[in-house]
Amino acid sequence: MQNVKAIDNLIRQLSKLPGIGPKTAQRLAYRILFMSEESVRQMADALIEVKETIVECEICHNLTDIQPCALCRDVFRSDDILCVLEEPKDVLSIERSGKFKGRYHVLHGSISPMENIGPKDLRIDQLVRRIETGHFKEVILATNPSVEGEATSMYIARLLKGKVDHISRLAHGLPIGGELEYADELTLGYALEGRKDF
Amino acid sequence: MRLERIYLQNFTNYASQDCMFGENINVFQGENAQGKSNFLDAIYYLSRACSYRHNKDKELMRWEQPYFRIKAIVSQKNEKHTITLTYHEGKKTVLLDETPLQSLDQLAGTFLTVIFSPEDLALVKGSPDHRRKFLDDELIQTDRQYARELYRYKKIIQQRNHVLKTMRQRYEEDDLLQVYDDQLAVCGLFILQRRLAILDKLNPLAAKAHDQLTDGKEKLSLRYLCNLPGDVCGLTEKDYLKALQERRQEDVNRGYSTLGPHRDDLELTIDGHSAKTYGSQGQQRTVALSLKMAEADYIQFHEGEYPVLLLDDVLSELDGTRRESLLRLVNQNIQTFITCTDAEDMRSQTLHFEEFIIKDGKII
Repeated sequence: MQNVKAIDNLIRQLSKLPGIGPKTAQRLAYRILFMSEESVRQMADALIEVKETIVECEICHNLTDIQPCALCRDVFRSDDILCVLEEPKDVLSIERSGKFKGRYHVLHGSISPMENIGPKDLRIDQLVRRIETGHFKEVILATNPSVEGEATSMYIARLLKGKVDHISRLAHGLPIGGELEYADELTLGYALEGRKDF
Repeated sequence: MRLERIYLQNFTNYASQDCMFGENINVFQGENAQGKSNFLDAIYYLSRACSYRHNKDKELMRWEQPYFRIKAIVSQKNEKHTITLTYHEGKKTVLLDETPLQSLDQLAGTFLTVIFSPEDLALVKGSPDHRRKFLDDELIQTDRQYARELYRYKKIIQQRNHVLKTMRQRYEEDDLLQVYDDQLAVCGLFILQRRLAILDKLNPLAAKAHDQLTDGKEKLSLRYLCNLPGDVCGLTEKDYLKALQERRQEDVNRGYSTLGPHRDDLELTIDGHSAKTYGSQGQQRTVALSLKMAEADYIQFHEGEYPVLLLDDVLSELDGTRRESLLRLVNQNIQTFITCTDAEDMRSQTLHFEEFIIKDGKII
């Protein structure tokens, strides 16, 4: 079948998204084409709305539609402890754990000179200023355990040395509900090193 | 380990080929460009899900065919397994005993091979990266932590080199460089220690193999050449960091990392003289072969069973005595696949082998 210009354009737009190849884009495009006009309009509005209303929180740099964001406004959260994360989606992961009641700081990436991302391209200066002016007692560096994530944490730890009492790192360990037999040897190694007293 | 049966479909110049093999020596005989090495490549592909002759899987498909498949029955410690590898539309899938594997790494260790081909002369004659790769390949196959740390090490070096380049051109990033130095010292030391440990095991094995191949006439020795200063065995993270610190200005000037295991080498000597500089072509080839035999012995030591040995066009390069020693060596419980243009050389031996004649993508 000969493709029509408008459909081609939609396919091209959809394939800009991560994880969407030409075939999936085509399937999605045809799916959209056969949806009701109302649903399509809702979808299009949602796309525009997200772009127009979502901004970076001026305090924690998480994404929000109010300034400052709900997490920074929440008076029941502790101002003693700060959790530093790479991406806004990581905030959701930590929140889901329900174990953390402090404040957040989102860096928007990790240091990777290969991709031309240096410390200046992340919200690191803002983090240092926040520590200097705030009353935090502990900073948890919860970046990913990749080379870039580790480097980012180590870099921040150097900058914050002497400015805050306690700097910590997330532990590596065994997944809950997993059996030892199936854990890979690296994770098991880390879990052994980071073992706790009974 | 044994390869009992293989079935190829659309693999290189084989349209459809089913074949069963003998327990010991199997010889593929045929003229040039008939598909002897392709057959070895298929066996190699079963062990690593990649080719030793082609970089792209696409190139392994028979002309104008949409897919290729290799199916085999292998035995590991007398337990039989079937491996099915399919390449279709740019995707590789593996079935082990008819069950799909989530990732190709899970195939590791099911079927191990050691290959020796004419290109392996580069192990002796070529640049240091060939020799580093030889050590790394051994370690990657038998030590998953090493595989992960080596990947991390290469990543850190890449990131560090980018910082060094920008430092030369634009701004000062001393703090960031220090972070990569801290990472390197931990990761690099790990790499170094594992390489030294495996070399300790490979050295006597290579010396033994070389002694047998040369009828006791030559003594082969392997030594790790580390570019970090001081005694490599007692090296600590602190020493490593100090060395990086001392070398920093030079690294900045050059714009890349000049220190660490990514620049190390392996020295191969015959009776105390460098095989690379003073060895004859035949001696160099024998040294490379000894290294490969040491690899097979190491796997036997580590896995409790010999890997399958693949010898691509080796016999024609060796003199009669060395050829005889090699065949005697492999004839001890190692399943071996040999390609040659003429099996006459082997017939003079008093050993038993299965013979397959290959012509134009078919075994006849």
